[in-house]
Formats: sequence, structure tokens, C-alpha cells
Amino acid sequence: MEKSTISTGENSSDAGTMTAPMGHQIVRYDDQVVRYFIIATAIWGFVGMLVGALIALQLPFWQANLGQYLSFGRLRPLHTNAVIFAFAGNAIFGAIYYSTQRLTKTRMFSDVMSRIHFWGWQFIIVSAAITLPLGFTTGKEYAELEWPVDILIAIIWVIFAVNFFLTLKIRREKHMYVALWFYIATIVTVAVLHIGNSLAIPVGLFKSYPIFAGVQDAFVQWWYGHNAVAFFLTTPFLGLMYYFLPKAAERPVFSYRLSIVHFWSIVFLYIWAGPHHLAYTAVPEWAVTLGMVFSIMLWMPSWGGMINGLFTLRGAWHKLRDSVVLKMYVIGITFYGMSTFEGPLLSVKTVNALSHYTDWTVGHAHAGALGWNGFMTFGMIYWLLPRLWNTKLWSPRLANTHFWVGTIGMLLYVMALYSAGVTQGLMWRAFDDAGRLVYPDFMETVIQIIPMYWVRLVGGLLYLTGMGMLGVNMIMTIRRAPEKPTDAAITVAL
Amino acid sequence: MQNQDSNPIDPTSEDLLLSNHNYDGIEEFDNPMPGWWVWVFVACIVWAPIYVIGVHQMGFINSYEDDLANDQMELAELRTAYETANPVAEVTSEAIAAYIGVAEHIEAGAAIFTTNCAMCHGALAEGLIGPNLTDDYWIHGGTHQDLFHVITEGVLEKGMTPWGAVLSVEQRMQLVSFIRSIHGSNPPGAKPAQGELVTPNG
Repeated sequence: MEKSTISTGENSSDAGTMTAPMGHQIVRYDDQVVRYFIIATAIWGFVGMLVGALIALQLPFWQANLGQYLSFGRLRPLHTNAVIFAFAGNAIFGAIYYSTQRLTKTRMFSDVMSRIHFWGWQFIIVSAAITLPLGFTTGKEYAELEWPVDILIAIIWVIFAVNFFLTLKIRREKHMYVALWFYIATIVTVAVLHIGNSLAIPVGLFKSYPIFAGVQDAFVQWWYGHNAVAFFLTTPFLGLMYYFLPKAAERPVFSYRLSIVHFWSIVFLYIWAGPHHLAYTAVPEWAVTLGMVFSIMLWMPSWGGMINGLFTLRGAWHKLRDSVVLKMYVIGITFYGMSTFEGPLLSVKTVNALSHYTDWTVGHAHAGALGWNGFMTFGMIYWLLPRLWNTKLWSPRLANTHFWVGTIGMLLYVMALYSAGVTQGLMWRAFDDAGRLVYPDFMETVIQIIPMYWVRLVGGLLYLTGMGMLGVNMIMTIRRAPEKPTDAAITVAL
Repeated sequence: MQNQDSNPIDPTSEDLLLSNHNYDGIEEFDNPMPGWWVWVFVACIVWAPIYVIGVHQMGFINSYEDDLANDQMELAELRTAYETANPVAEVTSEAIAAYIGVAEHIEAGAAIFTTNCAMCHGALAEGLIGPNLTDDYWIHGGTHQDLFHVITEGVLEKGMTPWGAVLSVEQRMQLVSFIRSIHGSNPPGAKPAQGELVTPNG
């Protein structure tokens, strides 16, 4: 493995025409595929959140269920699939393609595989957007897509994996930086989870039955479901954080040792925690106990990521005033810390007895999704836009407005659902002094939380507005970009 | 550029940079893990087996069954205490008869019916999953007391919910009052008669 001798600035205008000195060669990164993924992130993010706003409206205002294809039951899985696999998915792919090439000092192993990954993934998203409203579903949360799409996901993911690992194989940097460890954990584990949970026997083109039955199926489903959160929404975003945060802050990472310990403890502990989703169900209590204790043990490993993120900003806090990127990272990392405290808390059986089946769970999921995944993605995009398109961000002020609108929207959203969840949970278990249920009629407990649903809708619309601002800023920035933006390149010794 | 002994980033800081750690310009400090972080992590790991053994082996922490038994006992005590403090006179047909035909009770009963009963018996009690309640035929007896009894205990094998734990004695009597008030209303779409013919006020 050679050592690079010269690194050009990412935006240097001569990057397109530079020539290598004797005994050196120029390595040009494939930034085009990153541009694709970033644009896809913005488009699907807006679509996914728009569907989210519609179903948020359908809860307090049932008339917004516009026929069977656009009813809550059909659109809810479309929303979750869109924001997880289309919005967050494209974002992490963009992050991985951008940072992996730079951390390994090599172009991706195969441009063809990169493009198959990109277009294959968009095709999968479109398939989901068509089949889910039509009612084709396995009924497994976050794994609703039927078997033909599942097979396609597996194929595309394996192509991505092969391309990634062959890129690691030809790397020019001996050591692999922590971001790459997190990407490896993501790619390997998601493949195992997706294939394991999707094992099914087809009985038609759009119908299949899982090979696991009853409680075992539920068990496998939540092994998958929980680790989709872990290895699709956590580890790749930690990898993203470890690359883009020190880049944006221009500060060294706080602690290498902490990164090692929290990486290994996260990947080891997370995979056991799934059964906490099935507390107080037919799953045996020992399994739920297992899920609970592993969730508690996971608390500090998760916070290791938060500490390394926030402490990396030591000595750079003054930069927050002018950097919308860093502001977004601070919100993102803070909400990561908050939701990874809340997760173990909700896994405790006695807390779960109150929270289970209430909107507290939905609030928790959105603290993570809007706070952590959303803001880490936004921060990354605002950092990447000028670098990928060789120009300045169209409007830093609009980006700053996005930050505030998004933050306020997210806070309204989660506060409304926390209060709705706790209210409903307490109403369900309220007994009067005669030992009778105070609210025996379920509908009473729904009507009570409808005002909170409206607040949640307002919060969601604000967050969606922020997403729209990002879209406008992105379009205007790209319009100002040179016709053919230059891909960054470095000179390495032969 | 990297040196274990100096810090080019911030000369006043005591953080040391790791040499040879420079990835696309990203460097790393050789800082120890925060002590509180390590100790909370260790505490969680130590606690885990204690909890598992406590619930599943030695029983010093409550299991599902323990919690359920405790809560049920507490509830039973609550109910006993309430019944002792508020003794209920025996619900005789005469006691119920005092509710029949009283507008205030019929109205209250109608509201209870709409909330709890209409989904199975129909909005007009014409019968849906459950039987028609406006005709002269009764499956489980047609006296005031029979009606009160079926409402209270339910008919589990037919899917009729027992309302005794949910509705108070008075509410159940109001319900009987309401059902009596709609007798012979012959609502549209009435379900065919089920059960035995019972002469009115039998």
C-alpha cells in the first residue's frame, strides 16, 4: 500500500486538469454516484415525509383517508419504508461512497456496480411505492415488501457489499478508520437480517408465508425490526458522523479508544435486544428479560458515540454560530443520546407496561428518525452541496431557517406524542375506587388524545417545510454549479 | 505533523494526538474513555445477570406472574373494600322495575347502549351479531332480572361481554330500563326472532 504524497483541495479548480509528477498517478474519486444518491435522498425524503404528514392528518381527521389505496393502513408502511430505506438509505449510501473513497484513497472498485446499486435501489423504492398502496404486504413491520422485491433487495445489497469490500481490498491506506468499521458492520448485518427475516414460501407472485410460525415468527421479526434500527439507522449514521463531523469541525476525534470500545460493544450488544419489542406478549418471559438486560447494557455503548461526537466539538463550539452544518450535527447527536437513553428505559418491563401500544413508542421512533437520522443527513447534505457541485451554497440563511423550523417542528412532534402516549397509557390502566375501569370504552382514550394529534401534524408539517427548504437550496445551488462539476482527485505514488 | 508530545491544534489543551492517525485529514486524540462512562457501563453489565437470576431463578424480583397476582389481589381488595363500604341491595325485579319508564334512566341507558352495546346489537337494537332486543323473544329469559343477569355475567360462549366489572349496578339497571323502553319499536332491518316467546312483563 502506497502512501499518497499530495492531496489536492477538494475544490481546487485545477483538480480537473492536474497531471501527475513522475512516479505518481492521479486517482479520481467517483463523486457522480454520490451526487445521484444525495439528490435521491432529498427527493425521497420529501415524498416520504409528505406521506407521513398525510397519515398524521388521517388520524385526527378520518375523512383524509382517500379511498382504499390512500388509506392509513396502506400508506403507513409506505411512509416508514420511504423514510427509512429511501431517505435514510440513500443518505447513508451517499455518505459511504463519498467517505470510503477518501478514507481508502481509491476510487470505488467498480463504477458499474455503483450504478447498479443506485438504480437498483431506486427501482426497489418505486416497487414499494406501487405495491404497498395496492395492498401487497407481508404484514411484517419494516419488512412489508413481498418476496420478489425482497429478492431484488438481497441482490442489490450483495452487489453493494461486493463493490465495497473490493474497494477496501484495493485501498491505499493501511489502517481502516472507525467510519469504515461502522460501514462494514452495517453492510454485513443488514444482509443477514434482511435475508433471515424474509425467508418465506411464495404462494403466488405477490403472496408468501414466512417459514417461521406464530411466536417464532414474531421473534424473528423483532430481531430484524430492532436491528434495522441498529444497523440501518444507527451504525451507518455513526460512521457518517465519524467522517463528516471532524471534517466540518476541523477538529480531531475526541478519543480513539472510546471509538474502539463503543463500536465493538454496540455491534455485540444490539443484536440481542430485539425481544424487548414483545414484552407482555406470548413470547416467553425469559426472552423478554434477555432483550431487556441487553438493552440496558447497550445504553453506555450508544452514549459512547454521542460523547465522541460532542467532545470532538470541544474547542470548536464557537464555530456553531456560523456553521449550520455543525448546528445540525449537535441537534442530531443530542437526539441520538436522548433516544438511546429512552430506548433502554422503554425496554424495562414495568415502563413498557405503560408505554406499549401507545404513541410514546411513535414519539420515541421519531425522536430518533427526525432528530438523529434527519439532522445528521441534513448536516451532511449542506456540507456536501458546495463540495460536490464546486460552488457556494445558494443560501446559508435559508439553511439556517431550515435548522430552526426543523428543530421546532421536531420538538412539537415528539412532545405531542409523549404526552399523547402517557395520557392514553394512564387512562387504560385507571381504576376507580370500586375497582372498575374508569375508561372502559377504548374510544374515550382515543378522543382524549386527538388534540395532541393535531399538534403532531403541525410539528410534522414544519419539519416537512424544512425539508422543502433544503430542496430549494439544493436546486438553486446545483443551478449555479458549473455544467460538469469536477470530481475530486488525489495524487498517489505508484 | 502528528506528535505525541505536542498539540498543534490547541497548545493549551492536554490532549495528545495519535501519531500515524490521519485519514483524509481526520486526526484522532489518544484520550482515555471518560471514567463515569466506563463505570456506568460496568454497573449495567454487573446488574444484568443479577436481574436475570432475580427474576428467573431466585425470585427476588417479580416475574410477570408475580406482578399479575399482586395486581389482581390489590384489585380484589379494592373491590371488597368498596362493596363493604357501599353495600348493594339485592337486585330484584322490583328494584329494577323502579327504573322502568323513568325518562332520566331511559336516557342514561340509551347513552350506555350506544357506547357499549350498539356495535353488536345494532344502533336501534335491531340485532346484528347479537340478537334483536326489541321483540318478544329472549334466549336467556325475559324477566328484568334475567336481562340484568345477562348484562352482568355475559354469555361467553356466544361472545356476549360480561359488563359487571365495567358498568355499575345503577348503569346496568338503566340499561334494562332503556331496553324495556324500546320494546316493540320494530326497527328497520330487524333480525329474525331468536329464543323463547316471552309475554311482556313476564
